[in-house]
Amino acid sequence: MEGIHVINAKRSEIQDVLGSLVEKTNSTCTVLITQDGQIVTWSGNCNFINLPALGALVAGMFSATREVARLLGEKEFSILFQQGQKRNIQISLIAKEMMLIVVFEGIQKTALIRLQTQLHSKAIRNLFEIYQPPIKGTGKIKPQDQIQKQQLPVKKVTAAQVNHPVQTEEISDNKIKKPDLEKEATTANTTKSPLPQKEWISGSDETISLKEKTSQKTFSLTPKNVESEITNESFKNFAASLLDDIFGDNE
Amino acid sequence: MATINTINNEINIKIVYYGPGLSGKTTNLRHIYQNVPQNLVSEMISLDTPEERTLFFDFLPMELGFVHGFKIRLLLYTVPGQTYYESSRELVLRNCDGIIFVVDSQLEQFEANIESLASMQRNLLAQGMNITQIPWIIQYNKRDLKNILGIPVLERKINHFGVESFEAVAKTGKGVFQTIKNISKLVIRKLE
Repeated sequence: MEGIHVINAKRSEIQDVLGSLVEKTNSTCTVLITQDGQIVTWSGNCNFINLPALGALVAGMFSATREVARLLGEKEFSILFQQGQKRNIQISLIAKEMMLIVVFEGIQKTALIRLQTQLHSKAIRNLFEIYQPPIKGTGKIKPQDQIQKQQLPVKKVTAAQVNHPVQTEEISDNKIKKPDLEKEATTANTTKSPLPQKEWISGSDETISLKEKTSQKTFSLTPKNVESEITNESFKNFAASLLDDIFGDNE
Repeated sequence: MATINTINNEINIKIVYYGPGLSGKTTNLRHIYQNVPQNLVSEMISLDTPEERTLFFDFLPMELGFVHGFKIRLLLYTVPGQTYYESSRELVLRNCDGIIFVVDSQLEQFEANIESLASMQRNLLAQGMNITQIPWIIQYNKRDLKNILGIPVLERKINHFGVESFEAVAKTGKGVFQTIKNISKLVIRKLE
């Protein structure tokens, strides 16, 4: 199981879609999380929220309600809604591995939130690639890889298309119907390779020195991509030294 | 498996404390929360009952620092120990990178440890994970109590896989940091 799970997408593109959802619904913020509760990214005003805690708790809620769904003969519920005095939260399961949280004020906006979430979810699904490499040595693809690859989109739906939902591609779970898109939208549709285009921040190969906040240590290396980076011995040694600094003599 | 988020430049490593009810998993987490530099941890989330039994899980995110602009974060979870919270345990184990199996060293808890270890194997298999592949270690907790089994006996009866093991008294903090440090290093070493 000692593998790496890469969540990869272009920050600007995903931010555009989440930002569009915030704007169209006048919501407080939107947060995208993995199904096990890790924060992927967010848009809007999240300053008042402890995001890692929110992600973990929402994942827990979803797990609990899945059991409730089973009791009712359903596989799972795809939307959860919690109403507060001032703020409300809607959580949507938008793909097998992703959940979208919308925090908003004003209960009268519930229907709008639901509609716009559906429209934007398509765009989000199509911007992401989730790739889990096979276990080293076996040469086999793990079952979850296969599931994810089946669910991976091959077409992009851009933020621009979200703004014009009539032109947005209709995408079902297993099949993609190609709509009659305008020329510019068609140009934006590109087939993605099954593996993510791994980018190292700026894509630079230059050696960069960084100063770590707590221990004031520096760590220099020349990354090619993030995956090879964290399997690199220098990285491992540096991370181990951080652990020594934090836990070392503090019994 | 470690999760790299290239959108927010984060590397998340998920460590789970597993073990029978009242073995000291939450106490481990609480000690870490109270004794690491406060700028590294934000808030510890505990979903427990009025009797302080863990209901869903405990959760403590902890930042180790930055490497090359990527924030390295440990996500520490405990599972609810009681046998009837199987589905919560499955959720917590999902995509975990390493496990600390917390053993209650008391003689009367011996069977509960065995059952919990079997449940851990079951839940890992349900996630498509194998106990021989995932990094995990054992913490023999409550070593300060009187009616406890000796380490050689526990090693023979519980540590069939020959993983690293540590003695601890979580309520005083003894062995807590050593355990989390060692599993974290083990996880990092095994990234490939």
